[in-house]
Amino acid sequence: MVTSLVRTAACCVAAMAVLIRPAHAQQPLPDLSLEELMRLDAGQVYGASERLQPVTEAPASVSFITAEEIARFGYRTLAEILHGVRGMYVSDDRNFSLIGTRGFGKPGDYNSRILLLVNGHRVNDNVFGQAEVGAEFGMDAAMFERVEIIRGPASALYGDSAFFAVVNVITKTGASLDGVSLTTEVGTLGRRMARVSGGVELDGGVDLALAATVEGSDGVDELYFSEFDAPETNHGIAQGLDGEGIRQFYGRLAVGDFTLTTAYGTRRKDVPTASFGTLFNEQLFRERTTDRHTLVDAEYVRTLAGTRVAFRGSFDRFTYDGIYPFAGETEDRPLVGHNSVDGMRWTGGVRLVRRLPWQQTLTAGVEVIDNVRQNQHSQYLDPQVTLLDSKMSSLQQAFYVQDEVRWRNRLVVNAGLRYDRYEGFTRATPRAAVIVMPSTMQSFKYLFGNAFRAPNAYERNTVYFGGRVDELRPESIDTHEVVWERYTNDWLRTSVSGYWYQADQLIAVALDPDALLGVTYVNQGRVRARGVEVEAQMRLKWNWQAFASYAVQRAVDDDTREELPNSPRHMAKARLSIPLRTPGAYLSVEGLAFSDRGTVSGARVPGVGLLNVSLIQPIGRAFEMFVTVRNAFDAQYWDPASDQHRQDAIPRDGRTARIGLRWRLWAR
Amino acid sequence: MREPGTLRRDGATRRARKLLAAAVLVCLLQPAPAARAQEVTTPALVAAVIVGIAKFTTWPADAFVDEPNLVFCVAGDPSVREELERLTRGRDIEGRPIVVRPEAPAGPFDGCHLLYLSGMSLARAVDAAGQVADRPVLTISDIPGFSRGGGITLLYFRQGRVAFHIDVDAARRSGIQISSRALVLSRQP
Repeated sequence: MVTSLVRTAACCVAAMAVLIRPAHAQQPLPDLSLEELMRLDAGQVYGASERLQPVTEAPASVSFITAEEIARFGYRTLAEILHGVRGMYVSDDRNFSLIGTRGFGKPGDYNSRILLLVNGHRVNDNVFGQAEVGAEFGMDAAMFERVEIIRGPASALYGDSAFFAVVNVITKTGASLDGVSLTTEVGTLGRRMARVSGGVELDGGVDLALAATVEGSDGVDELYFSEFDAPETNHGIAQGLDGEGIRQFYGRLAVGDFTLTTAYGTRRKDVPTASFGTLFNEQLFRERTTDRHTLVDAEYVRTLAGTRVAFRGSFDRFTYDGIYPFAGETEDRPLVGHNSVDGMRWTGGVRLVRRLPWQQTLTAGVEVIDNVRQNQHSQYLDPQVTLLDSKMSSLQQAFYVQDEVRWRNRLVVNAGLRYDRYEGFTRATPRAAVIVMPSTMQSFKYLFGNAFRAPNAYERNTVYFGGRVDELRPESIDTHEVVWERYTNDWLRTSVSGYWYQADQLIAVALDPDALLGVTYVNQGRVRARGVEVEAQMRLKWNWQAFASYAVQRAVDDDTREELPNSPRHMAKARLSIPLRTPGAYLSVEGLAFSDRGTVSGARVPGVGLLNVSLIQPIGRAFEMFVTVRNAFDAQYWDPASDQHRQDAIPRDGRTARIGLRWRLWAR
Repeated sequence: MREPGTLRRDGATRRARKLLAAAVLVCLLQPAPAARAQEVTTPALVAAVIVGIAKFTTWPADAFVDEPNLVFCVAGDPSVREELERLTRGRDIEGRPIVVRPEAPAGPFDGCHLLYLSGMSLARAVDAAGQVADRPVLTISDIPGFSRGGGITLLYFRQGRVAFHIDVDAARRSGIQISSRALVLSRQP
């Protein structure tokens, strides 16, 4: 393990040593052709202020990943993308992916402290508040045009869940898909995938994009867990219980100022870990989860009397089914539990952006979320016994206002406030930013943020967790951050940021003998963290593209003074993409290194170094081959498990590989 | 620590590894040129695109009677002006040195060959474009609605990249000519 970490770190350092040399060969911007300029990323972000603005002026520390990078590095899920991003790490309990950010990645947490947006629209579900980022997200990463990562709290703009960060996925248009393609892929662990996608942009502002993906995997054939190493539990080997099946559909239609986005995704996953005390290696009634997301989002934007007005209406549905086999009265007949969740909501909102005198930009909006269903059902099958049949609904209303004032293009002051009204409480959330730009090439930012996370419908379930959960209050966080961003000679972007945060009233599990499940949720956690992150992005000689980041962080429980579980102290990441001889051919390498992390029991999982290699090679005009090898050194590593597992740590995949072919059937 | 679980690999891995090694080898036999990424600021990119469009623009000879240099006027956006100054330092187009000049949003824009308008209301930008509509001045703006209001070129951002739309009629009325090499890249926002 250590050898692997050292080897990867050495590779990263060697790569950086080669890369960081004088940029004398860079073509100056005015020498690039118009076509080349139009292929450059404009360095704009939408999600930081709900309007497009240069990253240097955004009131946050921002990163983004483009469709080109997603293709070059062979990313197949949002989880893989975020794992390579500065300051973030994604762990996996072989069921769900968990985002860790800035030292906070509590095992068993359902990502409810990260806000996930699709084109600026909230997609965290309304029962668990979960941001699903693995294959369970329901959207194919090949349909992402950009992913914006906006660090720090943003409840002043978005309300609930924008606690540690906002991840905004911007999806592809017909113009960017431009034509019809068929893609197939096979890989180790029985991976197979087929996708058909097509897009067209017509005159008169009509743009249509459609895609459908079918994917499956057998997973690891035999997973060994020493905690279950006994003759009656197959000597700790879970056999053939790691498979998943995925179906995804995506559609987008734009006509003039009107845009309709639809998506449907389902992911079924067998769970090999026997979590929640289920039977180990049960083959007939497998522990299995199925997540389904439906999204219909309509937006109409136009300028009225100098004010940009956006009207938005959305429908979201999230359903979940979980099968949990428990020990029955006889050995051959397990007691099978079935949990299901049905969340449905309508969202309506209006947003205004207007320029005002003295170089001000005012953004204001109202939002109404009608959670028409937040239902939870739990039962035993055969014989059927209903344990829980909770039908909930709720209404949220909010308004927000944000003003940006500029002074001589050297100073930007940004202040915002959002007022949220829930059925049980109200919340006012502020944020402020002061951005000093000594030149157009660099900016210094001081960011103050405050955010909240409301107790979700799952945590407020009185049948499971007793009457005490009625007293739950929102969690809150205060953050201070300083950021220095600098651009050098149009080939190098560097960013340094230091942050400090304090999260209070965190909702945590506590023992409660009176509750049905023996535990309840209470506001008791307090966390303090601080850290420094550095990042460099380079456009190098011969069109090489490179990225490197390093984060050091320390997040501690304020009561026990102990470091949080699943919180690596150091993270180093590097990416390098090299164009090959054939136009459109790239070799891309990603190195990731994470230091050791604590587990829930207080033990530690060792640090790890990972190397991922991807290759894209066009073959003729109509075909493109791509190959991705993840964890190329076959490092063995583990993620800390949650208290819902008997295991202290769950193993991740070793080396995996995929090879695919894209057939471009038609292009304009 | 407690001993964590371990993986037992499936049989297909070895075969797949050989296949992938062969595929990677085939493609590695060749290095060379291709597309590019970015590490530029928004104002730098906007300035570079303005220069790019100007390279494809032909002004009538009488536009240089009083002013032999190519004058780029910028109203309302000091960031783009600074980047234009930086990027055009010591450069010329068709032998004419480029001079970048700040302008008040209200004009009068005398001697300008190119006028970039930003950071103001649409009404004000349209008013400024109207002032020079019958003169050989290439008007450019990033304010939505600019080309519908009589401006020649609208810059906008689309899927994270910069794009532009050129109103051919407005260009013709002003007396400048824009090459088809720029017009083929022009798209409605």
